[in-house]
Amino acid sequence: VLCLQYAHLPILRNILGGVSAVAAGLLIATGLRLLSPHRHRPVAVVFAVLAFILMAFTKLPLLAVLFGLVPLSIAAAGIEKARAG
Amino acid sequence: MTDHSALAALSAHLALLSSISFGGFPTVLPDVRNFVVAAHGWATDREFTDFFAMAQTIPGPNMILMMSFIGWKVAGFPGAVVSAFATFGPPCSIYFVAYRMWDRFRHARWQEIVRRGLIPVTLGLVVASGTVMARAADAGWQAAALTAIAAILMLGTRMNPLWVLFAGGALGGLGLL
Repeated sequence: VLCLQYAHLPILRNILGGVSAVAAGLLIATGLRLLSPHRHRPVAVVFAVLAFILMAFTKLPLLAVLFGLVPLSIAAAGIEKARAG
Repeated sequence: MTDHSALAALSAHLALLSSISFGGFPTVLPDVRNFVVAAHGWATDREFTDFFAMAQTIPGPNMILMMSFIGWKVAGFPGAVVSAFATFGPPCSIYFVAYRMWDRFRHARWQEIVRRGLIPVTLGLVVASGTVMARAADAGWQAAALTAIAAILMLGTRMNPLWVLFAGGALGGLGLL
């Protein structure tokens, strides 16, 4: 909290800028790494990409995105499983 | 808006979001940004990413910390406390109730299907969250490149993330971004 009081100092600004750029990259990497076991499931890839686009590039609220995609995604996973036997 | 009603709105929104934060609180960051920065103007994009950066560097429950920074900005110390509770209270209680049931059906077919359906959506949201945070920082191509390099390093090597964060801070501190 003390840091916040000094957040206007240029040097601290710059450091925080660097850290937040990296932290954003870490978040992206975490998502991609956890996703990689599912990369051979076309259904999973489609829904991951849809979720990504809807949340990153539209101003839709999260609630709408989740309620729109999750039921469809679960249904698709069910069909996928039924086909696989 | 007064501090009190602002805090009430913020904590209600955080409580709602934390209840639906499948895959961890980072998945809801873009929504929090929309609410706090775009809709209400309680903080600037710059402040929002500063909070994010600081929460990520301090050890401990990062997202609870980050939300209490926002609460602090909106309504001082009480704001920080209320926001922290709104962030971890609802999911903790849901988890407590739901886990026993979830565990009982651990081997049920439907549970595997639900899990396989939830995972991709959740992880798409995590990646989106990283993208939104990078864009909120809006610091030019150098920072964007740093974000990409950090992501590639984490995917391609077993490097400790703290070193990468430290290196990012050093580059920023040297004025290279």
